[in-house]
Amino acid sequence: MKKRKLSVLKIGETATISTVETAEMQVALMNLGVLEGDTCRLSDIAPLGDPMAILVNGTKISLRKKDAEKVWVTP
Amino acid sequence: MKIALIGNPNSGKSSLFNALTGMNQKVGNYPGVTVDRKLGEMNKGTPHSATLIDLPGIYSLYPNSEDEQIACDIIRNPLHKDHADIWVVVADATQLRRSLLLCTQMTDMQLPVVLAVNMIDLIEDSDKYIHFEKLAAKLAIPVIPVSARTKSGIEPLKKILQKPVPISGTRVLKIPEGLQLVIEDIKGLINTENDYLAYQAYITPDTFTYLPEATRNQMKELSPMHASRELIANEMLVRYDRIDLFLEDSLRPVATLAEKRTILLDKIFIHPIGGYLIFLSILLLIFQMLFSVAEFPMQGIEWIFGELGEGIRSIMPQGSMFSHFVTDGVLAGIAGIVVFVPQIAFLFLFISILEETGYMSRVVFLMDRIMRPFGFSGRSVIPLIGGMACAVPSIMMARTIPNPKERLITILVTPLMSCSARLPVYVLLTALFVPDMKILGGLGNLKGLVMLGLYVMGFVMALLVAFLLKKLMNYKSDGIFVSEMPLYRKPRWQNVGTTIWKKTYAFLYETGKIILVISVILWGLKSFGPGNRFTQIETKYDGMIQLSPEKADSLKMEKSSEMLKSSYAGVLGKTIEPLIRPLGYDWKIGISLLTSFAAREVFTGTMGMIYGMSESVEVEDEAQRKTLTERIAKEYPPAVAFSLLIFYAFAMQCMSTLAVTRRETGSWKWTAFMLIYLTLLAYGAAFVAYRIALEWF
Repeated sequence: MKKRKLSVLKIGETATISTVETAEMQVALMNLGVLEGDTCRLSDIAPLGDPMAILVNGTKISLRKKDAEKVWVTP
Repeated sequence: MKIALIGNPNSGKSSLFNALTGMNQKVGNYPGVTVDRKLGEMNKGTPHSATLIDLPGIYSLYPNSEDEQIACDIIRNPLHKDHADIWVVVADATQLRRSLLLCTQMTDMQLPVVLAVNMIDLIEDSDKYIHFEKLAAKLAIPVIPVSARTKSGIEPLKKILQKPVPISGTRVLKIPEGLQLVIEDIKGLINTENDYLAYQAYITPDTFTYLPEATRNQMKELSPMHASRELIANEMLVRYDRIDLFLEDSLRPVATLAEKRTILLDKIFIHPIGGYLIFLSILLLIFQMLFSVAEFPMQGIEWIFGELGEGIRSIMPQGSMFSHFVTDGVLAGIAGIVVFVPQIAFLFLFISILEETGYMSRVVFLMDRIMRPFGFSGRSVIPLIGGMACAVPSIMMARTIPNPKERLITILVTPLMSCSARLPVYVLLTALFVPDMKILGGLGNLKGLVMLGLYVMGFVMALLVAFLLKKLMNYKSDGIFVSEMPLYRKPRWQNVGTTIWKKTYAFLYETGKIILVISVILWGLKSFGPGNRFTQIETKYDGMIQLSPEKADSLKMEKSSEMLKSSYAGVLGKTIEPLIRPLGYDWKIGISLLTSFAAREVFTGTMGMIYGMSESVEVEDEAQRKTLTERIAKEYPPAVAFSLLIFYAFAMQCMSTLAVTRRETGSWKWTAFMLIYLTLLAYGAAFVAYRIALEWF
């Protein structure tokens, strides 16, 4: 399936997290209960396009654009 | 018995702590760091009384910040004074999977653990979704559903905590075959029987700060430190696999009401335009309340201390040095501390409501990108804006900034924001060189415009200095910034109340001491002089008053004016005259600069006293202000007033800010740095302003 970066999602789009590029980012997400294979929905983008917020596992998580670029999602 | 509460941030840990201890709490500081140490007593006065410790929130036993480090130290180090006999892991019922990550780490540590599944009130029919009995069996520890908000489950939890809890938890992580030898070595090194503690030391030796450096270095030689993040990630994956098995009998609750509400509310609160408008309105409301409501208790406090001083003066021998010391030295010092309480309490009332409801993380979300170029994140916004009311509570608020460098920069630049204490000085000085002129067709006043300019100047300077500090400290604000935006919820008033109480208490008792010492020193400088000049002045004026008693009042004022001039403060004022000459100031202004180190508004009082007016000159009082401005205007050109105005906009003329900076940075070095850089900045800016003004006016 075609992979995209989390950072290119539009508001309201839902996708599945497939891979996270760095171990550091992986740990940061896992601390918040976000794992590869989880489904997330891009819920908000701050003015100026950065940071962004995703809804995942019943919680909202905000991340900066350059961090979202390390997260790959399908489709 | 000692019981510690640990858990993720936003898991309702502090609410549970409040529910278990009631009002039997005290807050301190861990030595050397600015992390709150919260202790409370449960079942006070009964045979089951126990000490409760509310540890800083953590997601896992691998710390990423100063407060997480403290929590991990306490859990790892059996000799730490807060190492507990029972560990209550507080889990968020709606985020059970994530909460169990820490729980399985704790059971692997082989500590006596109890799991409290909190916030069950957020899930309707929670028993249907979470199979508490099976979860308890699989984890092999007591599992108690609780709600700190509705108080359900609190009594069963208290009952379990009455007697020791056995070490029983399921162990999840197995040490890989090839590592067993090295883990045995580390167990010997750090003196533990526990495999998992040794494993943590193996992959992250540098976070074992409680061990001697020599031991740490030995561990580092054994450790694959370059791969520590990968190893942590692997460990977490193993844990989550197991957690999914633990939770297979439980269902993930369907979207809770709170979740749906949050999605809706965020459409409004972080709307690209509406979001900023709402934020601005909230700020305006807070400031309006601060200035209109906090003003009354502040005046009340000033009145009470004034009366108290009068009372003491009347019962003590007339004019004795001791009575002078008690009323003008100590009592005035205490009044100068207490007068901050309404502002601190009010500001923290609003701030903790914003934190409690979850709105604060939305402010961070809205402001993060805008603040980033200056070395800030969205977290610095509130302390900076709060600086427009008062730097003291704002610096205390900087504690919520996780990154230590960012927090330091925020603290260092907050005093540049024009606070409310500058207002009387601004009012007095602008009157000296700004004509009373309507602008914008009568809509505004030129003085108002100048005033606004001063506020903007302070803000711009704060950003500028922050940018420079960021470069100097080589701080890159590009670390990973992934954080939770908690669901919106109603504020829990008990939490709001305890925050206000704790912050006020900390200010009064920890910062108060420093403020009192400085004010007594300043009093001493004003009240003593070299040689016997004071006695000479006394006899001179006593004689004059006896000759013409009808002029006693004005003579007394002249006397205090002359005494101030010959006091040590006066001598110092004259000594620094050559230094402040380039700014256009003479020794009289020098005295005022020195004495107003206590607080900026003292400037008007000292100037008044020098001119033989009463010390309690009120800028709000039209007539008194007029007299004072006329006298100053007679002696100084407008350029001096302009230069003074710029000086006061930047200078560190507030001992309370200095004292609170000492507390919040934990360092005299940074406190001195702040004082020096602000003074140099004020000096330089005032010099430039004076030169320009001499050309223009």
